[in-house]
Amino acid sequence: MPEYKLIYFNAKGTAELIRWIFTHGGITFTDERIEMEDWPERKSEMPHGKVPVLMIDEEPLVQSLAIARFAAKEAGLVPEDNLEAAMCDALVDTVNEMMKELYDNVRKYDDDDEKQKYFEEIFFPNHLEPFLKNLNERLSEKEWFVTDQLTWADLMLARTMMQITEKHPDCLENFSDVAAHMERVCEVPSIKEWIENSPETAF
Amino acid sequence: GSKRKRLVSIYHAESNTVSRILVTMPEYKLMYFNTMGHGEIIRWIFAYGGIPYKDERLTREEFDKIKSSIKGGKLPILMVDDKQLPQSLAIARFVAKKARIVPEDDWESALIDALADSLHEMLFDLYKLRQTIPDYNEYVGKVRDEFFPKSIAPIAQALDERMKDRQWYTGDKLTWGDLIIGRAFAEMYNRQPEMLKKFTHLVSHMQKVCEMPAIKKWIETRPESPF
Repeated sequence: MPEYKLIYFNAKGTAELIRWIFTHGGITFTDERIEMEDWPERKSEMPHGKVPVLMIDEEPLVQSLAIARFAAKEAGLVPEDNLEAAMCDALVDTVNEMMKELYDNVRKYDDDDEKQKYFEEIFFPNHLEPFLKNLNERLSEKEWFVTDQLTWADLMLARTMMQITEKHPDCLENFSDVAAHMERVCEVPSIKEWIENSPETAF
Repeated sequence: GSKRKRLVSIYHAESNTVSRILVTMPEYKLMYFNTMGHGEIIRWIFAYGGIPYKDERLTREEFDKIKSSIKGGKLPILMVDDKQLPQSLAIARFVAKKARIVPEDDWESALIDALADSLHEMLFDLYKLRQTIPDYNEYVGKVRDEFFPKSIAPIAQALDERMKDRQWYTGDKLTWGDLIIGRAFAEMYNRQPEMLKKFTHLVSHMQKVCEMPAIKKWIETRPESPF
């Protein structure tokens, strides 16, 4: 059994999905968290100066979604069927692209009010709302996003919805099936336990 | 939809013969614009794998007409019979599996996923930059002075070092990782060779991929498009 060490900030960010996946798969991993004051020194140790990095024995793997997909395979959260696996990949990439849009734009504003305004006036109507509409339709007929079982796409979705609703609690108001899906994922025993026991962090 | 039977030619190298057999294959249709962009890697993989597909190129007007029928409203989309698969890398990985150029080993496969994500991000940001700077010469200047040192050079450097002692990106044969390298750097090298030429191992690997018969043929016969 290889030794897994996940290196990230002491935060949820783009590593939390990976932690959920390992936990759900019952896979032992070292959850190394770098405090912000130590980051300048540690940054140069990372292959591209970025985290998360997954050390597999002594070999590094970068890119949060490549790591998540790898972990998901080990955890049995990737469908056997190639097209179903591809549907998981597509959802994960769609969510990621949408969040990149959010991050890239929100960081242009210093003011919290301006960030909120960007979210409400631009991001929500143009990006998040259309996405949630499609998703809500799909999840009104299905318990899990791709197959009749939990996959890593469900975890990615729920994790992201949790992240967004922390800052914008009302955005799932009109999307009850998406909200129900998020709750369903959070009730999965391994995920529930992880959420309850994981440290409070700034992001 | 029900699977269709297609007549497929199989070339047997050992006996230099061709047999034709009826196989059950889904129908593949790639829907994208008449551009290379995020769709081109998929076309390379189809070409390398010798997998028949329809390479549908839509104009903006044609896309606007059908946009509401496309889930997620974005291209590329791969139609697999009547199912829609979005997202260029999800499609690429799916087709790469059909073409048998995804490693069996999960870790090797993940190394390619990481490469794909890094290069996709780089091209994505490059295209975004192009959109914000309509003047081509101004754009080239900005790339050369800012984008290249910050975003392209570190990746090119790491790849150059990796390819120094290797025949292939991972493992002992071609994978879709090699096709990604070819695709990501061929155009850049063609347009601005002086930017990349110091990365000699990367450039020669890119050229090796472009010289592979199926890829070379695709490059020579594909529709012209600027990006």
